[in-house]
Formats: sequence, structure tokens, C-alpha cells
Amino acid sequence: MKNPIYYYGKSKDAPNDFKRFLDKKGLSSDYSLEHFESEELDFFPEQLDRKKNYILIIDEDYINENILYQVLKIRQSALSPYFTIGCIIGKSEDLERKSYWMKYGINLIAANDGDLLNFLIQLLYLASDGLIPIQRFAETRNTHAKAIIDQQVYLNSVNQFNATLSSDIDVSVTKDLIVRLQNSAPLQLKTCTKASSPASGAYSQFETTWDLPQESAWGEKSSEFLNWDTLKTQLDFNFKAKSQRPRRILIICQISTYVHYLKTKPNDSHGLQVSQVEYTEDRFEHLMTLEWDAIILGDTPSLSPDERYDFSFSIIDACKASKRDCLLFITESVSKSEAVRKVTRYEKVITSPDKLSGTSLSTVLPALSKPVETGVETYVLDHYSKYTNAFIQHSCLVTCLSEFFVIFATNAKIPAKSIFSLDIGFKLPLIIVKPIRELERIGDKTQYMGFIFGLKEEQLQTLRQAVNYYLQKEVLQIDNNFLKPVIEATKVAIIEPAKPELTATTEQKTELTDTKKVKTYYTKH
Amino acid sequence: MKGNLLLIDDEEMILESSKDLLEDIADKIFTANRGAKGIEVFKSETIHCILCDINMPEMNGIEVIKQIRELNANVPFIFYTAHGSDELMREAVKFGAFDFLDKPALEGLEEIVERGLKAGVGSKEEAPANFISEFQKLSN
Repeated sequence: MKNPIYYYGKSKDAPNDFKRFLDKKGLSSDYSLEHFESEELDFFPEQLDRKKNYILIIDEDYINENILYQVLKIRQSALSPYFTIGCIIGKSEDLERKSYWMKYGINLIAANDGDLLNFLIQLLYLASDGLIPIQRFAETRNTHAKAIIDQQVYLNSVNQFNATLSSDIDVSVTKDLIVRLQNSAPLQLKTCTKASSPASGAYSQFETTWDLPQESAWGEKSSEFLNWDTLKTQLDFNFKAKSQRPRRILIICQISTYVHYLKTKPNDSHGLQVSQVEYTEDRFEHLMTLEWDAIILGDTPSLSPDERYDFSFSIIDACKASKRDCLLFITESVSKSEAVRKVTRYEKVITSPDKLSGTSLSTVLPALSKPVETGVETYVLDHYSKYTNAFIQHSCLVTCLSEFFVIFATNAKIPAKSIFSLDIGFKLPLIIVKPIRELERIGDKTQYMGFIFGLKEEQLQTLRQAVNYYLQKEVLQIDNNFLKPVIEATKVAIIEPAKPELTATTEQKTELTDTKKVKTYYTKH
Repeated sequence: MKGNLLLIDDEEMILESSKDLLEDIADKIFTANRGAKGIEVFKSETIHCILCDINMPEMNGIEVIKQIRELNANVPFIFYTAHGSDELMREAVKFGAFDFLDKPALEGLEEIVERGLKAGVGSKEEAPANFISEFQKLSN
């Protein structure tokens, strides 16, 4: 049983290099690589094999709205835990501008002018949840550096009164949150008025709605923050304010049913926000925290017909308790809508005796696509817009730096695959991964490991030099001046990675990389 | 064809008044003052819809629907309910309830029974279309 790696792109070199790398590392028995050159892409598997990790690598030339929509559908469905998705762009300079692609569910971005084999290792590590061994690199040993890390967030919508953010970390307890937007003054958000944690499978872990500063504060000219008039002018260039929002639909069904629908309607978003989950008891409370406009209860083979009704009653009770106006569609119902409405005293229930299928979803979802009136003119920064890109700053304590990863400690609770960046003079984009070794807590702070990705070769060399320079030195602060003494001290470029200390438990291996440079690996026994 | 109706209730007065109210709606109306008797009538006659009290001594409405469903019959079941029947109503839904009628008001009796008989005679509604039209009604 091999885990599939699907490469979508025109390059012959990249898939060949990946294949050679898998052979060389003895991973060919666990992973198979398939190359797709057609631009008519369909990522949804006919039959999901739950024992496999699916890795998709998509070349930038193939990225368009349809492809990003398919990636989003993976992220917003029960396919999500089985897929790891990477994208290769032309130049690393474009990474920051294109990082909004990650909002769709692209986990990792690499650039053609960077190290694509490191990118493959990182994808394998993410997909296998840390089971793929990674080569060891020199690490700084005396680092307790105060630093600011930027957490990737997305601005979803904004109007004169409030703004909605999505993020992988719960920021709802913060007051006066400063959100940094691309090419713009920062935006100040006063207090969080609404927070919800969507089901796993939705494109972000948390969605929060914030009050914007009141009118008088908006008018303060001396403010370092964006005022409403300026923000509105910027938004008016790119968006049309609407007093409507798309309906939020949750489908509870088997992934095969949903995939059947996706395969028949791959381009049809219906102006809906659709998330799909499979039924699990432990996820119910989590599911009900989001404000769904409609919930469709489809096939749930793990529930008996009796349990299925009890589950429906729980959904209705939760909707009633939260005074939500959510429609509930119950398929495979032996009772009529009127009966269920009277029993539950909840009017917004519709039942059908039929099973949910891909075909019936194709009929039902377009019928639901009527937008919801909000009454307030709002700019919706949709998924296809780079303006959605934003970040929040956190102070942290960096405890280790290598050319492959950064370890930092913070009070925030950070889920795996969250995206950060650390400024060392240039930005190190980081994806949070399961640590390669056990990391102890530092006081009340948890340590996290972030893989560095998307660097170009020259940046990687500079980072190597920096790690060499600071290898034994005490590092107490990391900011954009971090590289200055390194550049001063290093007149001759160091291309070799610094050697980690040899111990009795390591074995040295030397090999030629594809760039014909000697790399030295130390493998643990 | 309007279809045949079976009324099951331990209160003779309800049986009589319902029969009077519904005689123009059904072809034939059968009555039973106990659940067990109702099941016997169901076995011996062609029945297109059942109107049954949920709260009855000896055999309640849930036992009746359970036994009827065990006969592999999907006949529409309308229940008379009264205050305090919530738990029984939730049980009834699991076996396939067509609708519920509050006693003693019996509001909408004729309209509900007429729909039940139509469904029992076999004029099936198109499920997806029905789904959508119901949704559209709710959205307006």
C-alpha cells in the first residue's frame, strides 16, 4: 500500500528529482509519484483510502480559481485530514503576495529558486505526522531570544462597525487587536463580540467578529491606525460592498456522498459556504458553535435510525437554545416534516424519506443559494483576493534556530499547520509541525517547532551563515538587525551546513546533492 | 378513491365525533377502542391511514405503530396527543409519524387526515422537489 504523491505541473525536472529522492531515501516502497500534465484537474478521489496520506504538489501555472476552489473543498470537508497540499511558485519574492493561497488549504509553498527537496521532505513529514525522519542540521545552542512572530490571519469581511477575522489560533480574548494588512497602515480592532470555532474541515479553526473603533476615534487624524475613510477608499477599488452574505451550510454525510457531488459540480460554488463533516459524537458540540444557516443530515452509517433521530433532536435543541434560525434538513426520515416540527416545536425542519446522494445535493444546494440579508453594507474579502491577507504580532522566546526550523516558546495555544513568520532581516515563513524531539515547557510557555519554508537559495545560505555565527554565542534578541553582525563577520560565504556535534549515537553519511554540493547528514541509530 | 381510515382511541366520544367529522373525507371508516383491536382490524381490512391516540391503557400508540411497522406496513400514522406526551411523540417519530393532532382541539383534523389518506392511497410526492418547495416556503 503506497501513499500517493500527485504532481500537477508541466515541469519534468521537479517530478524526476522527487522520484530520485524517494529512491535514494528508500521511500519508494511507501510512496508512489504520479505526474499529471492536463490542466483539467480533479483532486477528489473516487474512493478515499483512509489508510493513506495523499500529497498534492501543484505548480503555480496550474493555480486558478477553480483549482483553489477544489483545494478549499478539500479543506472544508472530511477529506482534509488525509491531504497535504504544496504549491511551487516561480520566485520566492512572490511568496508573501501569494500566501493568501494558504487560506484555501495549501499547506506549504516553495519557490523554484529554493530547495525543492527540503519542500518534499517537509510535505512528507506533515503528511505522516512526523513519521518521516528528517536530516539533522546545526542548531544554535545558547538562544533565549525575545522576538516578535507574525501570525497569519485573514480578514474576511469589514464594514463601518465591525470586521471578521479567521485564524488558526483563538484570539478572541485579546483586546485592542492590531491587524497588519498588506501595503497599508494597521487596523485596530477593539473588542471581540462574537467567536466561533468551526468544525475541523472548515478553512480556519476560529472565526471572530470585532468592533471597530467608534466614529470619533476613526476621525482622529493623528492616529497611526487605518481610519474608516481610508480603508473604505482602498476597499472600493477592489470590492463592491453588499448588504448580503452567502449562506453557511453544513452537510453531515459520508465523504463518498459529498465527493460524488463535487465530481459532478466541481466549479459550482452557488455563492454558498459549504462545509462537510462525517458524523462523530465528540464533534457535535464543536459543530454547533458555528452559526450555520442550514444543516443537512445525510448518511450516517454509524448511527441506528433511533440514534439518528436523537441526534436530530439534539441539533434542534441546540438551535433553539442559541435562538438560531437554522434550517435542518433530515434525509432518510420515516416521519413527515409536520410531525417532526410538532414534536420539537421547531418550525425550520424539513424531512425527506430519500437518501442523500451526490445527485440530490446537486438539486438541493442550488436551491439554498439565496444569500442572507445582513442589513449593513459590508465588504466581503472573498477567498480569491490577496487583500484578505493579514497578520497579528505575538511576542515569543526563540530558543533554537537552524536552517530547517525555528523553535519558539509562547503562551498561545498553537495547532499544527498554523502559519507564522519570523523577521531576522528577511522573513522566515514558518509552518508549525509536530516537533522532531520532545520540547519541554518553559515556565507557562509551550515550545513549538516551525519548519522554515519558501526561502530562495541565497536566503538559505545567509541563514546557514547566521546559524554558524550564532552557533555557540548567546542570542538574547532576534529582530531585523539579527543578520548585521553576521554579514560583517562573514566576508566569505559559507556554503556548507555547519556540522552538528558528533555523538556516539550518530553516524555520518555524505552525499552529493542535485546542486552538486556536498551535504553531510548525521543519522540517529 | 379517497381511501379507508382506521380510528383507534379508548375514548368512545372521540371516536364518534371524529367519525362524524371525517365521513366525507374517507371511503370507509373503521373504529377500534383498544390498540390490540385496531391491529386486528388493520390485518383484516385494507387501510390507507390510521388515526390513533398516543396515550391509551394496555397498549399505547407507540406499541400499536411498532406492531404495524413490524407487519412491514408504511401506512401513514396520525397521532392524537395531549399535554405531557412529549417523550411518546419523540418515540413515535422514530417509527414514522405522519402528523400529530392536539386533543381535545383537533385543529386541522380534516386537512391532516385528507393528506394522510392521499399519501396512503399512493400519490407520492417527488422528494427532492418537495424538499425544495418546502424550503422555499420556509424561507419566505
